[in-house]
Amino acid sequence: MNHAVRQLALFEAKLLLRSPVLWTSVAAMLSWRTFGTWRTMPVWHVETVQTATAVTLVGAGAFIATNLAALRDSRPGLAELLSTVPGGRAARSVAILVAGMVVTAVVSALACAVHLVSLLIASVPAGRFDAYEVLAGVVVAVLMAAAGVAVARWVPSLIAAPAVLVVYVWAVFQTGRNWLMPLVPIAGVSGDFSRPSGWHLVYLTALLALITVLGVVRDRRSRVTVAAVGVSLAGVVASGTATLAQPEARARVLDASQAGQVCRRLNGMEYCAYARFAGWIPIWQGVIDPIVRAIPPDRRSGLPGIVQVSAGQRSRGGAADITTGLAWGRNGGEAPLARSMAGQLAATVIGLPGGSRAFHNCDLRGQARAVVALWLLKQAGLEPGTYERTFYDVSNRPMAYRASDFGLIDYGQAELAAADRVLAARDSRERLWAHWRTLVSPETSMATAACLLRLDSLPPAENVRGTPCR
Amino acid sequence: MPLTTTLKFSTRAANWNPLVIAWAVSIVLIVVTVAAMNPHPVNRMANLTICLRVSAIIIGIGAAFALIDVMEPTFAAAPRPRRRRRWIRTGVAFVIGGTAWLVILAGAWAAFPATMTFPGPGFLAEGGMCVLTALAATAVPLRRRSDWTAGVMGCALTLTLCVATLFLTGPAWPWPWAGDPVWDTVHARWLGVLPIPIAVLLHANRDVVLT
Repeated sequence: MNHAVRQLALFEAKLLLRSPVLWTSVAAMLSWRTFGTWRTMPVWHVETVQTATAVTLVGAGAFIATNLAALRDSRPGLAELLSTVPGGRAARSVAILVAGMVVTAVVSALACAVHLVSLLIASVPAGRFDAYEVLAGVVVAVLMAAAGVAVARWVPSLIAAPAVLVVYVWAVFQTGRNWLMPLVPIAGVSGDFSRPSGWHLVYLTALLALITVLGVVRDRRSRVTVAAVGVSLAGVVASGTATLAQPEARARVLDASQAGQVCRRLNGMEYCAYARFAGWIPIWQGVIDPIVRAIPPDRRSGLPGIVQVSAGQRSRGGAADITTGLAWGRNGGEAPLARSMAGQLAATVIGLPGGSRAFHNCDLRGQARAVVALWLLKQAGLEPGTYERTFYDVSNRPMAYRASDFGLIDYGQAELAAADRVLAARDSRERLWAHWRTLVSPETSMATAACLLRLDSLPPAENVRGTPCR
Repeated sequence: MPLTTTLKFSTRAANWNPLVIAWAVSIVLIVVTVAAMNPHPVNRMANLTICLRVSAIIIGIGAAFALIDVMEPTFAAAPRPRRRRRWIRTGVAFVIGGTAWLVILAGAWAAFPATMTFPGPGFLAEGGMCVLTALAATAVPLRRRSDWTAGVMGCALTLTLCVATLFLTGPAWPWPWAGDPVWDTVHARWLGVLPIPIAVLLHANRDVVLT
């Protein structure tokens, strides 16, 4: 790289660093990802891939910016002006390539770093951190910056870059798990499936070399550049073949970290989590302990364990186990998951076991044990609620059910009000413990509960909707 | 100048390269979709639907580049109003761009799974809206500048709007699949918002008062 090209590259880098397109894309990526993940607990094997996917936005900004820079040559009236400056079109291509790749590498790596740091706020990260995945995101962004020049040189039209961008996004999401695509996003959080991330990174680097050379070879067809095309093409073919040959590229293999579970017995409760999620056990314990403490000591034996399950392994754990998935929340996002976990335990305590998988579909209106279950949740600081859940039958017809934190179980305002009144009493625990056996029985009515718990002037009980719980 | 002559010169003067490139890309997309993708009716329907939408967006952007008239600054002294020239350009771009997309639509219709009804009117509403939005997005910056920058700005605006629609959820989701029960409701809404780009075009194609 001679002096002129070096100066030109420096100048292009300055221009690029002032590009509103690039910075808008950085702002969009950071705000989208940081807001989007603010309330979820980071699971590294998901977040690394999602970050790499999101950093494509920065790549897209760089792609447009370098494309516009390289298209200066084809702008009306500029050919004559540019013919007077030292260095030809190839020199300008090299300058924009160098500037674009360096600036994009730095900016996209910084954007990734800022986002990854934001994931550490108020969080206990779980899962497997694959640095190759994040690096691949940065390499793809750099690759897009280089592609901006290549596209401008081969198709010198303003529509080419947006068209390539749209088609690229289309191809990434249409081809699914195709490891020859620069980006292999994951659709869901169903499990930690290992990916051939190392080989894919090698493939991306070879692809980057090929695209870079393609940007130069259009204007400088020397023996060196043509040989470089050949070598980088061979590299792409070889590394692409190697990537596809990896067992993970052919079949979805669950990572070893998800094969076995770590179980811990804490305060009489058994917690089982996948090895890389064991850090969440104390968080679960924080939800479960207040509920257990509110149960009379002689009724605490035989409570179910808390078992982490992934979508592919729904059968894991006993039918009575309390299940939780591969997700948790932070910054307030954990509330529904905590309520579901505590609600499953409370449902077991009042004799409606089965965890979240049980299809109770019944109504607790008029039953004293609803008050017990709601009190259990409320005294643990959780705010219970009911909502509608829709399932689809075999012919895809929507079926709506009333659901609560206890499962497909409904209750009314009277039970909620009674739970509030019990909670407000200073000796609420003693009152409940004194009549526990009677109160959790399905036979005990709200009227009996009001009498036993010395609650007067409760709102009138609502009529039972659907099947009463048994 | 009579209208037919203006039409002829407008059509000849415009830069159709972007539209040709966008159209070629759309053809590649539909060929790949039909020839190389899962032929199961549900997948075929979904892939063709995506293909139609993507091609409507890029063909719209391509057609919008034809609105650029680099001679515009020299027309200040012309006896005909800017409004007339702009609407002729807009009409030509819409008809040619629309026709290019109709070819893709016809291809999708032919390849659509025989077991499903092809929701042509809904797709037409989407395509019309995409092309008109791209034209309107370019017409606005064209009031200030009559060169390639207006095309780039229109393109950026169109793509931003398209990406923004992906964040709509629930009943506001504008891209349902064919056969979805909400298809008709959603497409009535597509027709409902059609006056917006037309209003923007009416505004952008007004005469420019020189200061």
